[in-house]
Amino acid sequence: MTKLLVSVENLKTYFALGHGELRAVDDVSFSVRQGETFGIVGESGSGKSILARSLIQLLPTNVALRAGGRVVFDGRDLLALKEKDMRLVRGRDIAMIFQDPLTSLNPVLPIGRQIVQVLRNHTDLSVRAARERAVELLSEVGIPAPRQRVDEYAHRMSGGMRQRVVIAIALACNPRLLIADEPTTALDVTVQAQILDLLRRLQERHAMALILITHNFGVVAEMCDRVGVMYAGRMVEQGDVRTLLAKPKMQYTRALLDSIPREELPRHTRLQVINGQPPDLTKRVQGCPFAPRCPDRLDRCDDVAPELTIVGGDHQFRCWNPVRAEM
Amino acid sequence: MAGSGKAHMRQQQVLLSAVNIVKTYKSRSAKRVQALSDVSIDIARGETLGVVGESGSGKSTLARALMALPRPDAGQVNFDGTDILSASSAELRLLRHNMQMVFQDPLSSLNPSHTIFDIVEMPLIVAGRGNATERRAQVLATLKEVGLDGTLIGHRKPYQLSGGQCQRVSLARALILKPKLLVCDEPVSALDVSVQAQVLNLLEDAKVAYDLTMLFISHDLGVVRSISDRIMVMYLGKICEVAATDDLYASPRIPTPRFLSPPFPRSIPTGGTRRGGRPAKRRLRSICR
Repeated sequence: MTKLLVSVENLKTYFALGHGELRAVDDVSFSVRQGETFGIVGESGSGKSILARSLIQLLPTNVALRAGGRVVFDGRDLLALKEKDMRLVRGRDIAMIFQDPLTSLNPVLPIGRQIVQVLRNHTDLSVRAARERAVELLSEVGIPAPRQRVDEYAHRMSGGMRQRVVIAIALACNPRLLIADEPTTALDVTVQAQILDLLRRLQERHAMALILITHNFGVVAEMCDRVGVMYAGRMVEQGDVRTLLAKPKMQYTRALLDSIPREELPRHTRLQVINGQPPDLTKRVQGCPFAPRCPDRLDRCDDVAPELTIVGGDHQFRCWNPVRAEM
Repeated sequence: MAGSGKAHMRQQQVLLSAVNIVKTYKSRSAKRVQALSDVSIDIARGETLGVVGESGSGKSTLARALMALPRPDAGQVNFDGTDILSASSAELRLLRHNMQMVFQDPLSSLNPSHTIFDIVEMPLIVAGRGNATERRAQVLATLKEVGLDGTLIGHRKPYQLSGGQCQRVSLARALILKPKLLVCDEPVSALDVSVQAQVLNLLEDAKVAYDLTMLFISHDLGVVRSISDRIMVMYLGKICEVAATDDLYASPRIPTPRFLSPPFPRSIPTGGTRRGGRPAKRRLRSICR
């Protein structure tokens, strides 16, 4: 078994809002090994993105927040680092790519300059050498005629090409961990497949670990080794991707999987729906956050938060009444 | 694929038929892009026709051309016995009471400064139906059909609702005139899977309750398969395959569907990723694109 690269322990990110404390990330623990792909799935508002940003301390600064827990990366607790030291980690050891490639690129700088910037910040390459490296990187992410495109501006490129540039910037310093927050959501389906394919090849070549955030179970099935399911700021289930998709234990995971139209079902089948709304994260929930919407709720689900159950070594979930394997 | 492209057309029980539709856009560089080249389709009464294709394949342009929003450059559209493209603007306005549309982005398709009541009532006012009391009752009833409580959310504005709720409001607005044809342009693409399932169920219910014929555009093959009776695959402004849903999924004749959104859980095609961009439209002349 390969070495642990990141281990997240009881991570909490609470925002102090006017009408209470919003528990965006509530007591989340997971770990990622070297070279592994860990998927994080969940609906909008479940805390996926805030979780990812909490790992590298890229959180909004205009609101008071309370953090807790530890993010141990390569033996160091990132939450304990000063901002000055954290800046050295970001971009060099851990890189992140975001959903919308247009807003994450600088509109008034040619793309090559943006890659050179990262290289000059983190390495001692000369301007000329950094520029050469930028061309190499663009060609590595599959941009045709990279020497010409290096002076191009982001608005002159298609969405897929922009996302390739963002990936090139992220890879500039050979990070050991790449966090990709919905990297393909804003892209066309065919381009989506190309970008995922590219990420997978680059990940192998650079022996990089990948944390992939998505709400698409198809992407999870294709890309991830292990996956965690977020609901209401908590990680309610995690485990090996095959086990989790085929035999989910937590009721929420099952409900989510059941709501996807599948090929083997007859046409015009009524899809399973999850009734109700996700809970308000500013209100403290005593029991399981999914209890009010759960079809197989027990009495204690409302009152006592489910403890972590571990089966088969790696499959963890929080549910008092787990899904039983069908006979 | 070869031939006139009309072999799939039928004669009986057709609600809408469109023949040889052409729509050309001028791009900024004064080059012409043929968004629809010679497209012919028909939809039978009570049928759901799914349209799939990647971005830019002409799906939305086709939906709009069928409603003359705007009119295509050439072709004929026959809706329930009336030739739409030769109708005057005034006649078109009346015709469109029978053909309604639901768009992709639930928030931007609703007027942000109007209340939900106003939004859903508007089609009735435009059509000049009923007095204020009758209209109010009908709005409440239609909102109830799509699972919304008008007394609770009627006075709110779109931004105060969730994406799924907004999409229900869009659907209520489309249904309130009791149309014959409902055109759904990617109605669930912007929604989470759990909400997507609710809206898809709602569409199936509405289809029965209102005796609807539907044109359903999506790039998600799983979704289209679940809701459609027949499926049409578009690529670069042409129809490249039309088949009954089950036949298409059992034995696709051309490779396009494989590139489209992955079905669950086989997901993204591994070996079949297309490299590079797709061919520019204007350069293409041959039949197989």
